[in-house]
Amino acid sequence: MKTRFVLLLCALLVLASGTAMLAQDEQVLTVWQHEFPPLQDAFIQKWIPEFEAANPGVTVELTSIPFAGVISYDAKLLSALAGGDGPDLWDMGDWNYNLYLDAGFLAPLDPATFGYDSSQDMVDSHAPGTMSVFVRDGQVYGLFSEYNTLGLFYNADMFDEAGIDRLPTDRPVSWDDIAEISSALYLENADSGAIERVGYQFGFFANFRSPQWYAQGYYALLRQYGQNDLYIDGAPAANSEASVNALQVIYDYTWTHKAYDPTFIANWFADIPQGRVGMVLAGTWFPPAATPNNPDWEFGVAPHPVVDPDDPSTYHNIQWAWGWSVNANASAERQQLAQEFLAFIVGKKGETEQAAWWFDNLGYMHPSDAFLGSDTYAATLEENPWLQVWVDAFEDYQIDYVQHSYDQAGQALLRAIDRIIYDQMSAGDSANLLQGELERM
Amino acid sequence: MTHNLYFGVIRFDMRREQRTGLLFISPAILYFLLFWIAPVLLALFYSLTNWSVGRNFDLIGLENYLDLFSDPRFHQSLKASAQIVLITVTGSATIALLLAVLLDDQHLIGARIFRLCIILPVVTDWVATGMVWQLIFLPNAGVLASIGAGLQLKGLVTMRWISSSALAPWAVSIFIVWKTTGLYAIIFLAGLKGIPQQLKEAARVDGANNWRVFMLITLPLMRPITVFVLVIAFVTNIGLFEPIFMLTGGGPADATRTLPLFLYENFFLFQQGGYASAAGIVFLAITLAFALVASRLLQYSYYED
Repeated sequence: MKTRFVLLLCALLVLASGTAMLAQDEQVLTVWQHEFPPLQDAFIQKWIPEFEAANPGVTVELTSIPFAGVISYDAKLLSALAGGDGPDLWDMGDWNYNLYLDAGFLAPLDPATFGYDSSQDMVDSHAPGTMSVFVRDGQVYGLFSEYNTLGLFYNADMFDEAGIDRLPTDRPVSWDDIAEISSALYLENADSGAIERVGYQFGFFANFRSPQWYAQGYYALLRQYGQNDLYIDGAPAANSEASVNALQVIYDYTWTHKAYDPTFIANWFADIPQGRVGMVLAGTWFPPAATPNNPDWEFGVAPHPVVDPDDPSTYHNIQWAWGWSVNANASAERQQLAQEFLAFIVGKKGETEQAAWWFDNLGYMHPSDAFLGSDTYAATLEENPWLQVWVDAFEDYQIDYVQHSYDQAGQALLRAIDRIIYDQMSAGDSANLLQGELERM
Repeated sequence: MTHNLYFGVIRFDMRREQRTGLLFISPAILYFLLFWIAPVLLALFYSLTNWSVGRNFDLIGLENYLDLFSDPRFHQSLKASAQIVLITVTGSATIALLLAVLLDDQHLIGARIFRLCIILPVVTDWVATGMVWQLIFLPNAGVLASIGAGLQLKGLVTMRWISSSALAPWAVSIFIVWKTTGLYAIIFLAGLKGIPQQLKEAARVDGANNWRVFMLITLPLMRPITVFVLVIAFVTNIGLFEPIFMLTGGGPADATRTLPLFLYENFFLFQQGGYASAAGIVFLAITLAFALVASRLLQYSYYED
């Protein structure tokens, strides 16, 4: 009996040590991404199998989480990281970077892993200003998953049918002009009174209450009227002339010109190609998302509208990004593996193959000099001349991130715009209420 | 056989059956302690701190509570909660009682089908039905708008159900009443079945018509059930998150930002763990106060004698 027990114990010890050795050889990398089917497909069908094949013993575990669920992606990510846990690598919106950097959740990226000489080299290898959100104290904490700045898409057939000239591609038109065109496109059913077509659609509407899109709509206008942020020198400035003017444009589009109706749209990617909405500001991802179900629609693209096309100081556009970052709480080994996987999916310095793949398959632009100057991008431009609007935007416009969207000030801004577009409050009154809210924070 | 347990100066005699009983309910006690009592105690502690999720914190006493009571957004969330709870509790209880009385008719043909119909919304999912109600309320192209177009009612076609501050609380309430009434109707129906028939028959022999029987016999005897339904409806509806999140997201302009959404926003969006905890404690106090007052009423019953 005793001999049997000793033998059993030995067998167990051998088994345990063997398992431990196997476990040592096998590395698991956890990756979280916000749910976006094309991105999921890219991971499952391309990057993970390719990376695992190139790195035997490495398993990549991918978790996709809905961005706007009842408990949203951001909330789950924050909870996990705050608890000292969380994935090794994840993507997130630019609005999270300040908070996450303050909290120490992010590990600095090692330039050498990505083929760069230094962090500054990483920054300098991208379009000016685009990396600012990822950088703190000279170190880089994120790399692009997607980068966006906006152009004006319109339904060209609708313009033709209404006898409206197509918009110039080399010079922006004014907000007043867009309002006038939108009023001409507005269509109401004579019998029922139902709205059948609106001319313009802001990126915020009744069934898509994204703080980011509220902020983008407002900040572009605010900056075009000469103010950079809701705050000036740290003090709230929501009822300044520029801010009231910005809100007034939104008011006029909704109520004065009937150019826009926040309750009208039901499906952004269908309403424009199917002729229910005339124009919308969107990124380069719009055609890949809208065209598969509407292959015959003809779209036109124009630069972001401005307050005064004759005054280049009003040429302001906004940008936003999703970035990949590495967990500072993970072990050094896992951090390194996460960075290697990241370098694999976004490409190292000078590599354009992955960036081209992102662009062709997902419509996401990586604003690296290598990609923007590559033959691949030149060929894409030749094939899709409308992309020139984005190339020109980097030259003609001042492009910046918005300062407030998913935070308290951003929510207050959302309410201020809601009061205007839903309850028809005047721009001045809503701006004053917003100012009061910001002062109380 | 008994065991003596001493807690201070009080001595408890524990019989074997009692110990077995305790053993059986211990999982439930553990669950209750871990997932109900402990979170409340934690929230109480954090409500006294300036905890921001992911950062260190200090004790700040009652500052969060003082801030809450001077915060117009908290006042608005109390107002939105009160409005929606008032509409939904009175609405669903009244309609449920009405439905129960109709279904209690023994001569009603197809009573089983009707019962199934009214319970169906209860067993559906808030999120899925929320999306359906979005389409129902959608101006210009939604279900109500189409009905309005068919009836030549222009006002109904363009009515901004979920996108005007005046109508949004009503739209949310209609959704909640639709979803919850069936359950209360079944509870009322069970209560109606329990009323002794001889009391009603005696009243009828004395010359009372159906209305007087209902008002003077049925309704008073249904009082415990009514109070129970009101308490359940209040506690459920004041804590509802999904229908409001799905339909309006708390908007427009905070018109439907009830207490649960206020908590959610402050914790998950603004990371203000301490402040959200204080709001949670106030929320708990309101719910408990209502439940305690109502439970005192609940003890009162015509069946006691």
